[in-house]
Amino acid sequence: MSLDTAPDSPVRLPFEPLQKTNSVINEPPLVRGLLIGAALAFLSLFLLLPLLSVFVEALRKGLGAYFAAFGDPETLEAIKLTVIAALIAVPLNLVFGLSAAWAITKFEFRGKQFLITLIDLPFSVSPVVAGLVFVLIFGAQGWAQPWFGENVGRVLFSTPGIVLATVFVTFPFIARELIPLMQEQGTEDEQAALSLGATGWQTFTRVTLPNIKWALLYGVLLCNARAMGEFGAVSVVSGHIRGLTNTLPLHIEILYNEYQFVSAFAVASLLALLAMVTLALKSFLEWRYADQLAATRRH
Amino acid sequence: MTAVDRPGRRRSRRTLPGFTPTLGFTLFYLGLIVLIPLAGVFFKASGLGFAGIGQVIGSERVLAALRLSFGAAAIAALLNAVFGSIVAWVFVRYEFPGKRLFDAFIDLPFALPTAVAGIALTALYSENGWIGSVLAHAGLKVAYTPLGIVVAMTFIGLPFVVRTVEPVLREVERDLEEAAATLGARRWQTVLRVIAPAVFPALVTGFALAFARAVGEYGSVIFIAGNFPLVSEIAPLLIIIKLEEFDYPGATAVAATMLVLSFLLLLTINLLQAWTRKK
Amino acid sequence: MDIQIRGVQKHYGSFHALRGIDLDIASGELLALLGPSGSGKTTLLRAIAGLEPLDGGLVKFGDVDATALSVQERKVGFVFQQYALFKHMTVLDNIAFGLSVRPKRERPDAATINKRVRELLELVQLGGLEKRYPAQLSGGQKQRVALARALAIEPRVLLLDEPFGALDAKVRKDLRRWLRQLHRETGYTTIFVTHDQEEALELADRVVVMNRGVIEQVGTTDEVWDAPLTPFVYDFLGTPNVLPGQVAGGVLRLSGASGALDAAPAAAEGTVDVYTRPNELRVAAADDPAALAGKVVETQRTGLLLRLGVQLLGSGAVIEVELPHPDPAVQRWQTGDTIRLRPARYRLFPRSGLAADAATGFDPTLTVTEHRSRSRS
Repeated sequence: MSLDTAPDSPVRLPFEPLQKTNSVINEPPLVRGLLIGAALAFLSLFLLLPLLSVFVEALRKGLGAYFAAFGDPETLEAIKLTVIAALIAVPLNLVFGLSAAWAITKFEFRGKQFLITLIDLPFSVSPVVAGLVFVLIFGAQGWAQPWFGENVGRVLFSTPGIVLATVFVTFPFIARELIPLMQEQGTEDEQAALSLGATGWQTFTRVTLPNIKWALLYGVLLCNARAMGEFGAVSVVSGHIRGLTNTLPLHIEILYNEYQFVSAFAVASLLALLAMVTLALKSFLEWRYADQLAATRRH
Repeated sequence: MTAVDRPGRRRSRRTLPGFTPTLGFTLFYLGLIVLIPLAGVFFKASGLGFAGIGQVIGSERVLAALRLSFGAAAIAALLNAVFGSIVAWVFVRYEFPGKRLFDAFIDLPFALPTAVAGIALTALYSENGWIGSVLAHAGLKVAYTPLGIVVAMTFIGLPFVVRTVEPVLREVERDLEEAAATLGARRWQTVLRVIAPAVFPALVTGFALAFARAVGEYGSVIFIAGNFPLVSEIAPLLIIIKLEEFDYPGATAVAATMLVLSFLLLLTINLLQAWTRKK
Repeated sequence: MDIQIRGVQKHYGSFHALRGIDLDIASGELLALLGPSGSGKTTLLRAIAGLEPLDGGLVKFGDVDATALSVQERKVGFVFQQYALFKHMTVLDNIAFGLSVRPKRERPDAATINKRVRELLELVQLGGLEKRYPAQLSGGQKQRVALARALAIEPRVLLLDEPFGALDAKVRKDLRRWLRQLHRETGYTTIFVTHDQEEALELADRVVVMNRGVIEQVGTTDEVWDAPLTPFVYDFLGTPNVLPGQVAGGVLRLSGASGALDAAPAAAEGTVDVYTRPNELRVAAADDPAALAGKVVETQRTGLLLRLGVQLLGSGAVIEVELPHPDPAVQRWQTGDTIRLRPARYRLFPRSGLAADAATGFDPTLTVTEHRSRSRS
């Protein structure tokens, strides 16, 4: 701050140079520098450079080749399927998240902690195992296949299977975001609303929902990012039928394995952009509505 | 119980409406999407019997894959524990340009699809990539080796340690450090004896989460791994290979083993943590 | 150990927290730093401990220049407001911490440390609790552990930051008495910070009243109570009435009174503020020309006192009066009665003191803590 242009002014300047650092609770500059350097080197090596390389590889042969990748009808089909899967999985898990959070945070009942653990379960299951689960049910020898095959139609290697796998892996995201926050908020607001004559539904839409809207949006963002990006589980149930059961991540794999690197990275850059938008929105929410998002967050 | 006192009891216990439908839907949906399908794995596995499972697991290829998955995940989680702690420390304690930007990017592995991460890391660490070419000069080959697997697993586990340690570190009061200083402790003694023990349980949690995620990881690993049987073939990939060969029992046996091993490890770590917290 | 403080200066950004503090503290003295939040009392305490680097001035412990020493070398026993006990250590390990972090050649052996810790536990009356963790202690017990931990290093001086701030009233009273006794037994030079005047006056040998980074007055309880040096000290210790007056020709006359009240020094010539406490006002005779006339607007009986709100006829200001009750000499006052009052004791201050403060840029809405954290980030 160089505000010292009026040396004869008797008024104290609003900013003074910082005092020498307090050695009691701070490290010497050298140690600081080394630690900051190590941290930033680690983050650059493992986060920034990979992200950057997606765009560099995608644009390696110029903008023309980059945009040509999106003209491919199979790419367009993959985008369509990805959007469909997310459009089904996210609302389903949204309803589940709200309902689970309401039951868990507004009432006392036995086994609550156990229920929370069960909701977290899909986080700790390998996506490949998640896919396998549905193969065992709906596969050629699956126990639900005979009935489903006759009455509903094909599940595995088609859209329903992909949606199911996506729902499974994104299952806890929204509930996980809401439960700690609603636990913190307690039930007083709702009780006040009820005592003023509001119905249960009015209480939920006019009192509870405004209280949790930012956390809810946050959960939806994360859920959507995962839904559109899921690879392992979807890979197992899709059967990789080109143009029929390809999501964007699967399409990337196919292009990559066919050595169409520019196309693969072009499609990847689309998903990377989505990730960056998600992160930007997330940072914005955290910065703007920190108090309205749960303090204790685990992923 | 008479018909008269029933509504009164209910009112006194549950003042808000909607308990039965929300809990009902929660349990129904949880059962349908998660519990019944997962139970199917164990049902199928139990059909094999211990001998059947043992036969699958005992094969050299499966053992190598399990060893690789758990071993590489442990190394990656350890790397993340060390560097994640440094990152958390730097973010909580210091100011530097670009801090907000770096902070936002910490969560990239949560948001970036694993397949994208996989091909990006492969491009970066292969012999003609930006980093790979530098390392190749030093005689170090990363892509298509177990080392590459560690790199990918480090990437996807990176946010866990940072995000669990950060809030705890932020809560360590400056008072404690000043108290230690007035009592004559040097800075390193304060860090080691006052700050580290306060942060340790969170660090273990972060390690466990990163580890669990890395063990099951598939998308980001298979591109960089090379996938040579016995050398760089991870357990989840083996499940897929067995499925493609229509060896459902074999796939189930590997999956069930992974689930149980992960569960046991997490349980151990949870117990360890409960123990340190009590202490 | 005696302590000399000379010209100590401290800024937090644009906030001048300590403006040249001079203070001498005798060995073995129990001293209170008293002031409102933002007065600089905690900053001064932290400066003595070495927790705040100074912008200027000198702190000496005996003959040693403490400003040249690091916190670790100063050997001060500092008790933090929230105790700052190490949560993951037992009571025993907390108290032993200061001894166990010493370099190997200065460190007592384990048995000696153990013995010393047990002695301290007895001293603070917590024998038998050495295996507990801080979370298992009450507020008062934590306070004692923090004190024992500070005493373990055999400090040159004992510093306590709002030692009773986090405790409830009952525990606070007990601990106060106990601290006084502990001070007598151990004889450590002790400085504590408080914003509670009653606590300061009851406990300390001498009280340092601080305001806006300067010392307003240093003195014994009697001195600061009976002879406040500044309007601030008057205000801070009780709720005085401030009556406007005029000094002309060596005579003081209260505004609104017809006659002179008293002789006044020539130096006070001009408009003045007359500070007088509610219990220093007396009912005056009907023909007393120096008295102020007013109307009783409120009466309240509290114990042996009758507290009156009196609206002055001249200015319309309401002042507070405390009369002994029952007072056989006087009638029982009722709302609406006319009353004449004159101060039996008072103090004059020229009406100029306030202007100086307005120019310093002090922002009263910020506390010291906020200034401190601002200057850090």
